[in-house]
Amino acid sequence: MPRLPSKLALTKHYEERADVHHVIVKRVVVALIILLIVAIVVFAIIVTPPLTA
Amino acid sequence: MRLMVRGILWLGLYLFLVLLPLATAILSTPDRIPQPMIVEIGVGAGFVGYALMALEFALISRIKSAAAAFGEDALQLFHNLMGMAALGFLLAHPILLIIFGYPANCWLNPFASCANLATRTAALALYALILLVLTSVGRKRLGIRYEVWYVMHGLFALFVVVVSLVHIFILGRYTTTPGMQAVWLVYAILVTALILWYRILTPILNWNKKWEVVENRAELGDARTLVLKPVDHEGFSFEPGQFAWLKMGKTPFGMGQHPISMSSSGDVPAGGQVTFTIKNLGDWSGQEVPALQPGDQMWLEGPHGVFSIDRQQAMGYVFIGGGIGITPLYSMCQTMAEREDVRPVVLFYASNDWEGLTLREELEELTGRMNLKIVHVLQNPPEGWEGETGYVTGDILSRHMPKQFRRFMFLICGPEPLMDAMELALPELGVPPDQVHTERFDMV
Repeated sequence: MPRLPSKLALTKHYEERADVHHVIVKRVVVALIILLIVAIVVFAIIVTPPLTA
Repeated sequence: MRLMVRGILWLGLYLFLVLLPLATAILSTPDRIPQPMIVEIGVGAGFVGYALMALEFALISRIKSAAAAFGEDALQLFHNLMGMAALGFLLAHPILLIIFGYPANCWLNPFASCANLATRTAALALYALILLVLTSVGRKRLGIRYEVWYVMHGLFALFVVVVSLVHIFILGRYTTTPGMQAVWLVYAILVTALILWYRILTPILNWNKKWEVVENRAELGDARTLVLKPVDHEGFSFEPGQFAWLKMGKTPFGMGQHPISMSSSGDVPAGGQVTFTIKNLGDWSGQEVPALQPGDQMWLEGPHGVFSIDRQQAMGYVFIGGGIGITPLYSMCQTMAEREDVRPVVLFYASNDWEGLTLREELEELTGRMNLKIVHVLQNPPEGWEGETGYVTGDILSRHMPKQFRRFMFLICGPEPLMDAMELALPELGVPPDQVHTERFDMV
């Protein structure tokens, strides 16, 4: 009779699994877009010469 | 290496490559004419949009290490969403420059008298990208055949990347320093290498891995089951629920390939057969699949995917399937039966009618070999039907699930409305969201 996997084996499997769900992908994309917009603004601030009087 | 660490490393590399043009432009000090901030934001949006676009090739090139960390369908979704993000950034690029005062007619109309090579390449790349995204999002509504779209998609993408690079070099504002030249060279090499890998090297590596049709039989629900055997190689074993890309033709270089779930047990012995059950959707599946004869040659690339009981261990399972979404669930049931797995499985199987339940008889047979309970939910039940009717709802689920269902893992595969409804209904029943896993078939 096959045995159910032990609790330890299950825990290990949970740790190792690729826990990527569609919702997570969408959240990663939103976070990435925000980060990229911030990076573009920072880039523009740095490369734009300061205003002179 | 743990999959999560590998995933973080891949995401880090992706972010590094997207930000590389911006960072290099900051660090190198070219002798360029100072521009107002709005123009520099526009330039930055162009750099990011270009980098995202070039990296789109990497997301679908099926690099095994990345696919193992995220799952092929998650990467495909990421590819789709980042493609739209790239379009957003590349639209912002000319809009910001035009707001500042660049002449719109010259930059957006490649036939205008004031247009030159720099403006024409910019406009053509942008219009090609808009077409690329529109034909991808609305492929079915526009009635474009998958095989035609597949070729068109690759050509448009390559056109956008090459023409945009030409645009960057003609303008020359950010190509004067060795650092920036190196960045664009890296991108050119990356895109070329990925195309070579995906379109040339992968088929060459598959050259000696032919498969042959052993049987092509009709199933309920206007579907067909293809039984394939490896020719002079060991074939592959897979995690039940995974899919492979199927390609027809005499060589593995053919353009049209289709992601199809395996419908046989995942524990395939070396040289063993693999089966696919394919529903007639009117295109390739309805025209070419029924015509396949025993002895015909096919090519498989896989296995791919993370939708599997082998990755989602639990004390029991609730499978919810609709239409041809039953195939990966059937593969899981079959594998569990072969493994003599005693864990309980409740399968909710939705269909329009009784005759539309693909693999119905095969599933019934499995109830005698494993701890499987099947609940059919029919929208148009036959006369005298005493089972569940309509759509799968929370009420129907609660009527048939065991008391300890909150400790079970839920795997759902079927039409989008079914999966959307279940992703809402299950948390309401108290099922933790991380125990709900879906496989969306509509990858391409």
